[in-house]
Amino acid sequence: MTSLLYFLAALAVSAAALWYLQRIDPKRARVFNRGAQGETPSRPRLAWGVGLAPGLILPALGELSAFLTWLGAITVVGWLIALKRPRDRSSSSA
Amino acid sequence: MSLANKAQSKRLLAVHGWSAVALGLFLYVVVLTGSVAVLAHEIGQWSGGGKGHANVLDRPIHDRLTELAEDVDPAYREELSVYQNAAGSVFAFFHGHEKKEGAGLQDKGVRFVLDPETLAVVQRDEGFRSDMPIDRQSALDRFIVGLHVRLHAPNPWGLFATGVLGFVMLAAAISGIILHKHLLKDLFVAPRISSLLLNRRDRHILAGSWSLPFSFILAFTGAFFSFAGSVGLPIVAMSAFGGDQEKMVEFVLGTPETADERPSPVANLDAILSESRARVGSSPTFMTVSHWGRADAKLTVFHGPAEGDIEGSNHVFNAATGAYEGGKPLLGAKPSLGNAVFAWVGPLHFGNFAGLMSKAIWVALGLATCYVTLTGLQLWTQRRNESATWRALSRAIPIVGYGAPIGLLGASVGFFASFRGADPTDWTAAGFLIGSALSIVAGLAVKDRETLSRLYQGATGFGLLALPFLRTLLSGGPGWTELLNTDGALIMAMDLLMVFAGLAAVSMASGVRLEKLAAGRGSKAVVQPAE
Repeated sequence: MTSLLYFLAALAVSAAALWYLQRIDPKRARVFNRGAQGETPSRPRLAWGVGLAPGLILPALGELSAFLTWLGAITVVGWLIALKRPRDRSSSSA
Repeated sequence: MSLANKAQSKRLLAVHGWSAVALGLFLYVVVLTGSVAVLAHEIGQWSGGGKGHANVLDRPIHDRLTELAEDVDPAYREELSVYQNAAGSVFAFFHGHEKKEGAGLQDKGVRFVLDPETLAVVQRDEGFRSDMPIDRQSALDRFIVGLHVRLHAPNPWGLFATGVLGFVMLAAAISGIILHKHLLKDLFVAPRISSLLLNRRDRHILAGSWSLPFSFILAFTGAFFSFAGSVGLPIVAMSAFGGDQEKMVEFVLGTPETADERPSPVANLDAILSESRARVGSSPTFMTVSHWGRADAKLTVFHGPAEGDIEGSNHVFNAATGAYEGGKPLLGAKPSLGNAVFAWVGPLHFGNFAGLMSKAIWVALGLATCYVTLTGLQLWTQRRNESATWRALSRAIPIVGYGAPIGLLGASVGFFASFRGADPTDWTAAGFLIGSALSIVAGLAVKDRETLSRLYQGATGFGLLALPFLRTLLSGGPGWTELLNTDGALIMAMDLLMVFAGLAAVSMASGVRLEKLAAGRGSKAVVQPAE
């Protein structure tokens, strides 16, 4: 049960960081017809650091099962986040 | 930053593409069945009615095994294996080791199949292990696992084939990394909708990039399992032990202690298993007793991983006195780096170390690899669409892509339809072949791609939706009222999984296709450069 909680907490943190990273990705922003920079300065390195932190913390805590499950889960979650189809603003605003 | 110059990239692209084109559809079938086989235990419970979901080694079993030992030839008391299969059937296999013509040293003895609730003998088989029939309760999950492990080809050729496919997957992953110039930068690139080809390329690269670490892991561990026994073991035996595999096994597992053939009653196995459970912190999943009824009898208990761990562990007890003798590495007589690595191979490949959570993720990882394989093949053939040969391969992609899951649905229908009467083992295989054949006929008969895709998706969806009903109507499996009154949560969850997956497939069949999206919106879409 403890491992499951560690895993869920780690996944939540990493998924949030991955979501933020896709929001500030410049190539993606162009496809979405968004400005490359948002109103607040983006911090991709910090987001990568936070997103990957469970990869250091979980093994350090001896939670190998939660670590491996997290590692598998973020690759799936990251893919699903990135796979999201861009909205065509010109047609939606028409 | 590219890891290769232009000429090298071109050669690598050829390796990447041709290796996948040559064997990609077989690789897809192996990976798809592997993704399903991650849930083999759950499929066994679901298809077999879930009668034996309680672990038999967590219950009193000593008296029953003592009775059964009296019922077998003393020569077969050399070793006893006790285990439970995915469907819950309990096996007690008393055996010795004899040479079988053309197959070397094999296990030979008496195998009892026991009812998991009453431990009554429901089947008794005698002979070589390899000749014994498959438990009918477990025919469906065994068929799926057999298709994944060796494509149901005879040994060792099936293992060679799947091992080669593992190496093809490794080659595709490595060449994919080198080829992809902006792997990290493009992790979040949105699939372009300006053209179908670019959209497919972006989707292929996205899925391939994200699933890369586990493509490596699954391919390497899969190839290891295919080749370790069929090639690795004989090569090591040949080079280091002059071809003597028995001598090598003795070296790896440790030299047996001096024999003590004096008769001695077996210590209380229930008490030993209870002690082992307390020591390890997880339930035993498998046990063997060597030299049953002798003073040198040993009990080896295998445990699945404890909470938070990845690998299982072996523990040895003196079966005459009940004394604990210590842990035993899975490989070799003493703890070693080789054993540590070996202990991780299974969990990494099967994803079974954290219950249903890790299994669900491993299924998703496998399906992502299927997606990468099929989109890669689509890209390759679409770029060469002017050639009749490539157009023919292009037609084969949806036939196999949808035909494999439809074949698995056919296998399930064959299993349920024959469960109460005929031989489910044969009918499960027949159902798979019928489902696959119907898919091929549809693929050849329906020329329009979109209509064909919708037909396949609809057939898959309605097939999945029908399975929970066929489970109860045809095979007499427990209905939801009965499941609610017993501990039937797993079977209900599997039923719901079928229903949700079926609804998703039906929804896809009735939804707007990407081709229409691209055709209708392409002029308005934002176009990005290819790299």
